[in-house]
Amino acid sequence: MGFFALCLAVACCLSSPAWASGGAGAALAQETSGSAGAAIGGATLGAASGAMLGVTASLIPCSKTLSQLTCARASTLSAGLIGLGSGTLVGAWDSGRLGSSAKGAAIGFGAGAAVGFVLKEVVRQYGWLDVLSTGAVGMSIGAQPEGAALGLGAGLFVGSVLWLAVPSYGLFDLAAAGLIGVAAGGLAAWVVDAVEANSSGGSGVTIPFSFRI
Amino acid sequence: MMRAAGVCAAGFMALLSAACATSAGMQLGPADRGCPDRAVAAPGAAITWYGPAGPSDGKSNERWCETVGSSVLEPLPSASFPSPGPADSLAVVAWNILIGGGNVPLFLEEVLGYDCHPTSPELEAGFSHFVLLIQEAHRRSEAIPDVPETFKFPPRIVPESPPEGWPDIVELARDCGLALFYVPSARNGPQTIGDEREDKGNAILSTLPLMDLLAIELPFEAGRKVVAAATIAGASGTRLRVASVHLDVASTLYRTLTTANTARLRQAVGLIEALALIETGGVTSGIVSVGSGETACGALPGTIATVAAGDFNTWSAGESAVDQMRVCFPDSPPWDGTPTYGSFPTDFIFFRHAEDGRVTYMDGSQRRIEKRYGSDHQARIAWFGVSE
Repeated sequence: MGFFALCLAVACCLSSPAWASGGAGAALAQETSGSAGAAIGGATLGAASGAMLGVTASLIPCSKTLSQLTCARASTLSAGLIGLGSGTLVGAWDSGRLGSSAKGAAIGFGAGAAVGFVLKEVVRQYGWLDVLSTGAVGMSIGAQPEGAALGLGAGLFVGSVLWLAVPSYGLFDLAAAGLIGVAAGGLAAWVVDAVEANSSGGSGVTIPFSFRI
Repeated sequence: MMRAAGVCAAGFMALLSAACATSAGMQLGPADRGCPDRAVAAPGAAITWYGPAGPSDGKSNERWCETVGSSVLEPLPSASFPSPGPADSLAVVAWNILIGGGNVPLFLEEVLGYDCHPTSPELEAGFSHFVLLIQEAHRRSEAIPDVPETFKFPPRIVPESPPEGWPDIVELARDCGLALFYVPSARNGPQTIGDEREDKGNAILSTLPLMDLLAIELPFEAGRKVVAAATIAGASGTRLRVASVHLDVASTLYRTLTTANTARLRQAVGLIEALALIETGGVTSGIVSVGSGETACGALPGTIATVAAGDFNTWSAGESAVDQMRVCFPDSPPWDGTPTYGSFPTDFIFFRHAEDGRVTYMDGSQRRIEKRYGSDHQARIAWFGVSE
């Protein structure tokens, strides 16, 4: 449940006037001190988006192992870490790029929540927490829409080929391939964003990562 | 600032590692709950209840159980059947009958050789005793409480073309002269039809007397599910515990995300834990850590052979709930690769023998019944025998 506390915090951030009036990183940067503030914003958005992508991708594949919970945690943590690292770097080096991710996340959250609201009216068991949940899933996809869309396409293509070729591969597995594709695409887009933010020269903030051997 | 980012990251990881923590501790009772299903419509009969230990599960289950009527027990079949002999086998059927949409009398006649005639029911020569483990049985009664619509009700399910007269489970048992144990899980809609209301749940119909009645309230996911279990006695003092199981089809998205889609695994583990507690007579919890890969089924083999069968609502035969059941029911018939609900393999028969090993699954006897008989599920059947 703690994970959702974080998502709630992100959702609150995304719906604040600061986000609405401009780029996410820029807004944070104005409120804090320069691009280091954007790095924090990037870390938060990247971690939340990555973790949501990770848990979504794990739902079907991990349900086929007795270590289901361990499997899902590993997927969520790994994806969250990738998002956290990438988001931090994107925020630190290119707050404008982070701003568009945040804007996409806000739109995704709104779209997801709208879908959730419709479900709440139609599905008996659904409540406001489910509206928030669909919003959080939308946020994770909206932060990297191109990557998620490409990943979905690639996942469904691979899944379809397997579905046609392997008799034991069912529609359920095809759906899993699609979800994995969305997550992989979204995470890849975060990494690509971080690399591109670095190669574009960045904003001059030094990230103090060092290794002592 | 980078330190702040580090703190943020550390906090995130701490929050995340706390997420998805689920536990399905089970306990005897709770006996103090004032739900109508704790009562049983049979003099002197008692049901032993087991349920989840967590307060959240208990509260959710309580909100649902306030709306249902009493459990129903007819421990002895009203028709006369010959006592089972040492060489006799027992047919066990698992079938979701879609709120009475499944034509049980026709099924009994065509599959089990039993004519359900109300005045002179008859088991054809050459056919064995049987136990039907039924899911989505329904019961109509004036005694089901008339509670406000603010209570928890699933929507009413009405089968498209029910059999003539659309008998409920109590009428079916009476008309067919079978022993009955029915435990309602939830209402079948909030409506009052005439003076009657409907509830639904799991049931056991049997040609043999039912003893040692158990009701196992499963960990709550999207709706309340209660396993009905009983013991039947075979030849030479052999005993077989049978359990009619129905797991949830899906949880809410919020629960799916926060419990990593472990809804059915959690319920399967709840059932396993309860059966282990029954075996040991214990009252504490925490036998199995859900989804960690650990498996602890209680003592195997146990003191009594057990069949747990029904609608597990699984989307694939390799799902963790099925795998967990197979670990704790190691003598189960293998899955035959056939689905029972559209393309989904939802219905299973699991079995484990007892220490004495006398009740055994008859190898290769499990099969899917091809006709649906008006239900949306196909039944599964398996035969069990006694080895001396």
